[in-house]
Amino acid sequence: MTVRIVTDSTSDLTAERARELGVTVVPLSVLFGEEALLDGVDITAEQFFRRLPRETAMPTTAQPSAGAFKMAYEALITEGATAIVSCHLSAALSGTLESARQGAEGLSVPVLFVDSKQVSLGLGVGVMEAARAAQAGATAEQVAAVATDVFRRTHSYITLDTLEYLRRGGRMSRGREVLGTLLNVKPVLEIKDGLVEAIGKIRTKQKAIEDLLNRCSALRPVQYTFAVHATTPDELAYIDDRMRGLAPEAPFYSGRIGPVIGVHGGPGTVGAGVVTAPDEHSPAFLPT
Amino acid sequence: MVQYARVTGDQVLDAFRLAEGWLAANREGINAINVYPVPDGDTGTNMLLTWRAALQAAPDDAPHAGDLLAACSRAALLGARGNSGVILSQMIRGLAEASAGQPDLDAAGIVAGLLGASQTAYDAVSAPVEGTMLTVLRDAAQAAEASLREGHGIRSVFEAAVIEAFASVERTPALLPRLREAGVVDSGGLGVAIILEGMARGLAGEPLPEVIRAISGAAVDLGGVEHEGHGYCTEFIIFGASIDRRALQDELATLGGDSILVVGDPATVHVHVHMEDPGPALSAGVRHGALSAVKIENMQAQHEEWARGRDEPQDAHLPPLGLVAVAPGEGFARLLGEMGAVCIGQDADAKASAGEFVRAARRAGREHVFLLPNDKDTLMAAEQAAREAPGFITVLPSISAAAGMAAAIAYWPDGDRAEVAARMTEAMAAVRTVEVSRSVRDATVDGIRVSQGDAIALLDGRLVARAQELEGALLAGLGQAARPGAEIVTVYLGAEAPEDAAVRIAEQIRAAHPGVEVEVVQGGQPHYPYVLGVE
Repeated sequence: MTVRIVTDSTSDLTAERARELGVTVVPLSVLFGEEALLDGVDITAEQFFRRLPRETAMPTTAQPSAGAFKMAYEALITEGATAIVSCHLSAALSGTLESARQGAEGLSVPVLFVDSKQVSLGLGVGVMEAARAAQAGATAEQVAAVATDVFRRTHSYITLDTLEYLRRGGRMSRGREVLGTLLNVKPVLEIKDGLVEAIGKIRTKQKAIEDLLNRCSALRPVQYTFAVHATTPDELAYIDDRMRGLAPEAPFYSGRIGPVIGVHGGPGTVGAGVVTAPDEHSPAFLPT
Repeated sequence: MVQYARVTGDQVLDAFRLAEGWLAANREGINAINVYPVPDGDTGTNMLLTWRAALQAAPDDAPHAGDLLAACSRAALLGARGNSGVILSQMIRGLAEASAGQPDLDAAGIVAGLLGASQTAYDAVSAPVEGTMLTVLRDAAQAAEASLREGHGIRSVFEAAVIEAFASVERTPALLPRLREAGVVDSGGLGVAIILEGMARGLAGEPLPEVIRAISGAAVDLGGVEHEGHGYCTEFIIFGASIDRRALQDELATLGGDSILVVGDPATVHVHVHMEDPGPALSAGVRHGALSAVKIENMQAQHEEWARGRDEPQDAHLPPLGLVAVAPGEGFARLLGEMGAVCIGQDADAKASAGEFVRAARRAGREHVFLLPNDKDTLMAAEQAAREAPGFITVLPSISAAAGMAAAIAYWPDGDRAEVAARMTEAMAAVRTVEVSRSVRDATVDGIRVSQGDAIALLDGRLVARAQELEGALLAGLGQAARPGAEIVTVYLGAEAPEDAAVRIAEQIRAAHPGVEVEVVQGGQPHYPYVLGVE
């Protein structure tokens, strides 16, 4: 029995990490006008954020086609997969999961779907955990249960240099009404129930980062910590340093926000998060 | 991805159908924030029914775009419901007129249609108000035009319109005080943005998202929305030979009508008017032709019914914490309003009173309200207000508007009262205020000798610098205010600040304090051409 894991490019896993864990990453697309580029394939984060300031029109994003998922699933079946667990970014933010479902129609092996209700490494960390469970011999149901449980325990906070991109992308749910447009106020956002919700506003980026850290440090006990950045490696390094101080026992994962999430957050986006430790609701099968 | 240079009638029809679905999905959200012109919670429904009326005229397949739009336009005129519906029908009409005779549309045709729709809608309204669906469509059409000029195709042009439409919706509270007070965006404007978004998806051949648009401030407190004397919403169609729309519009205005719309062509006119007594409106109408589809609704009853329904919020709740702030100037009112504050205007001669504070706090409609007096002379009135409403009002003693802004930025309507108060107080304490003005007399203040007309800078209320020119005093004052680690300087331009000051001041500050972020905004305050917040 071989259970394989599929996710999408918004998980912000590096190619090496995905390869190591045997995870297939299906890319979303970023569109500059009518030019469509596959996230992480045709355009890297580095290239994207270099290009973004020079664009007059806002790039947009597109979910992978059902066909792209079908091809990915079929390739895994050819390699011997007997079941597939497909974990994706919040279905409340993107139709990616729906595309994946359509792509799985008529396949010869079962595909289980998990809505992470997360984005970026909030998705990526759960995918890694699912992959470890699969490598440890868990059934597809167990793997899906592990992933679902990790996502339940995942808390992601984000701050931005500017609200412009998130506003234009229309992906913020609550809290917009008090963020304003006249002053460049830094929002503090949380991924809640799969939606991007504003939960605070702060005048300066530095204080906003402190706020993310405070919110993370209020969550105990901790299994993993993680942080991502778009264009500010110094800020990531600072968070890394502080996170290791806050939760020295917890492995820390860092990553770079890819083009698709970058379209919605813009340059200067920084995220930090925590996966709290397994609790009484966690499934019995957990990889160690 | 679908790429094309022209869209056919069938594609336009698909776009209209998708927009219908998207509008239907978002109807309740739009209804929920309907406070202007009358808070009766039916904008989403009216727009949807009008859109559906337009679509009913559409054939199953529509090879000719211009003919399709002409048919929809006429059907919308006859089927329009409510103020927003009638304006929407005029948008469809403008779109139809711009595409008359064209079997298919290119990007330029679509832009012409959007601009025509905007123009026709403005023309239909006798006294256009900004911050409404008129503004949103105009902004969207202009963004589409700009995108076209940059050489973009249909998809990008429409996308630009959608993005700008939602941005424009977000700006409506800054333009329309009633929206700001209620803490909502304009419902009709949101409806327009939703329609454009649905059409954009239709044109792109994309399905609708499963998730409906989340709406700002979906829980409106009607206690905070004024609704005096709504009377009756009266609508009818007149069929005639050569109906003089302008004359009828004037008659209705003379009769005391409100929200008057008289639209259509000389043979068919749709009338919408709010009147205390609907009788004279009908009499005026019948003088111009035969009446049809007469609809009269008691708006007060509608409002009350809606308000009752709102007492039992389904999934939205009103956040517990409110904010009331004194705004010394238009710019500050906008800035504070954006941060969620109910603003009280103030000038030097008429300081805000305790009674005004209490009334404004009640208008905020929250469980608990923070007061920002933003002036040391207003602090006492604010404290008096807190004594009059014990347990309801907490005064955060901001003695400058810059400090008040810092506190307002840290304000958050959801959350623990003590925690939010602590954040606001901390933010207030972290900002130093520099106020720049000219001395009105010769004096020695805080050990500095100044002559009448000297430029002076106060740091947290203490005179710290004098100079010949205002900008010299500003930089000297800032030099004393900027502690190591200062991250950001916000410059609030006063009513008397020179027009060209913004860019110059920012450059001078950046040159003197490299690495510090500088933002210059309009404060509009009297007496102080420049107020700076340093944090």
